[in-house]
Amino acid sequence: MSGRCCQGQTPSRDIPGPGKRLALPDGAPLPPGDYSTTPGGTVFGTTPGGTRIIYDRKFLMECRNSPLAKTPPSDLPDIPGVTSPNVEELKIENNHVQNCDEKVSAGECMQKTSEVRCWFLEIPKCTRGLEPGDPYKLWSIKVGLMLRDN
Amino acid sequence: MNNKFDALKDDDSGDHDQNEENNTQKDSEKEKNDREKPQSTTKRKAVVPGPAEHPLQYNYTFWYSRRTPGRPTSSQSYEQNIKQIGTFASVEQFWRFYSHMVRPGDLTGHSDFHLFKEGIKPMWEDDANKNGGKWIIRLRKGLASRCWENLILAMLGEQFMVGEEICGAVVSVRFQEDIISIWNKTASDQATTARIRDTLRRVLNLPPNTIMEYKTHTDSIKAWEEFHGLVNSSGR
Repeated sequence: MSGRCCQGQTPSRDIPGPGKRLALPDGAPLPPGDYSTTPGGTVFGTTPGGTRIIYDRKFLMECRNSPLAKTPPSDLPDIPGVTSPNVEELKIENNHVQNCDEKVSAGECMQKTSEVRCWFLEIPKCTRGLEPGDPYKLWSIKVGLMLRDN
Repeated sequence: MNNKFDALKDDDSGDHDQNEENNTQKDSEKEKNDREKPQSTTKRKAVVPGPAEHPLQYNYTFWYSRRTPGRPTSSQSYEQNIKQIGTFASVEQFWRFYSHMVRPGDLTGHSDFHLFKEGIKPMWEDDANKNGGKWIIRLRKGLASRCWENLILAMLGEQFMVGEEICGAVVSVRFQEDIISIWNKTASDQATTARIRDTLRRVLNLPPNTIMEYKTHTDSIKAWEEFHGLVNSSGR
């Protein structure tokens, strides 16, 4: 998509900013200079009942590519399965993982955390070959749990 | 009792008041914590379009609700069970939320997204809704994500051309089908409801045999109260 209207530089006449909206009496002819369409379709318009800000689907979709549209909202609540991955589906009973001393072996670490009934959500510091934040696979964690049980 | 409940479930068509009360205490407590942050945030500061953003005609708020199936009824009210996700005032702010939420087709269980004008709760009893109703469209599985996107883009872009009449939209993910609905203020205004229906047909690009049904919130409340009567008389 070209995103012609939404790359952070908006032609000033495309959209009336706040305070620049048209106020027309009912039935008044629309002033052509202020009633705008773009090559992509209607971007905004006014209706006889008053000023409305109208966008068509194509324009809205183009705006999706704007850098302004990409960052997550700072106050986005964390709802598993809705605004973040669904960890519930992995049958996680408790996502608290004890931090092990980096010097202990993986086996000792498992011993120390034996009371924690969970799959690991983060790679503990003591898991060799992986750093915290590394992508991980469930199979390797299952192996870890087997070690602990033995 | 199960049969009665299941029968009613069939009728919940885009609203959730009947069934959402079935959430467990545990879930409600967990979700209550999730709710508090966004709600207090929206109370504190007004949401406005950022510089160089494209303002919308109205501010809108995303809500989410989910019922845990098969759990006993609790006294938790519908209102306590729905969570605000956030409020936006511009096209760009909308995408920031939307792009970080799963699509309705990927929701699990008995879940709903609600997108309502800021200040209108997605409840029959809200002042803006109490004389209103909704158009309901039942969709076979696999269509909800696309239809929901088209529906809310049309709403945000003021494609319905019915003045102040639109209140919000809901997508309800259910076991065998999904339901989308759009709520308006005045159920008795036939010119408005007809225009909403025609716009829906245009923007959703629905299969030709799709059935559209208009239901007033008064009828929804009545059905809910009758259901409660059945529940009480059976000694539950």
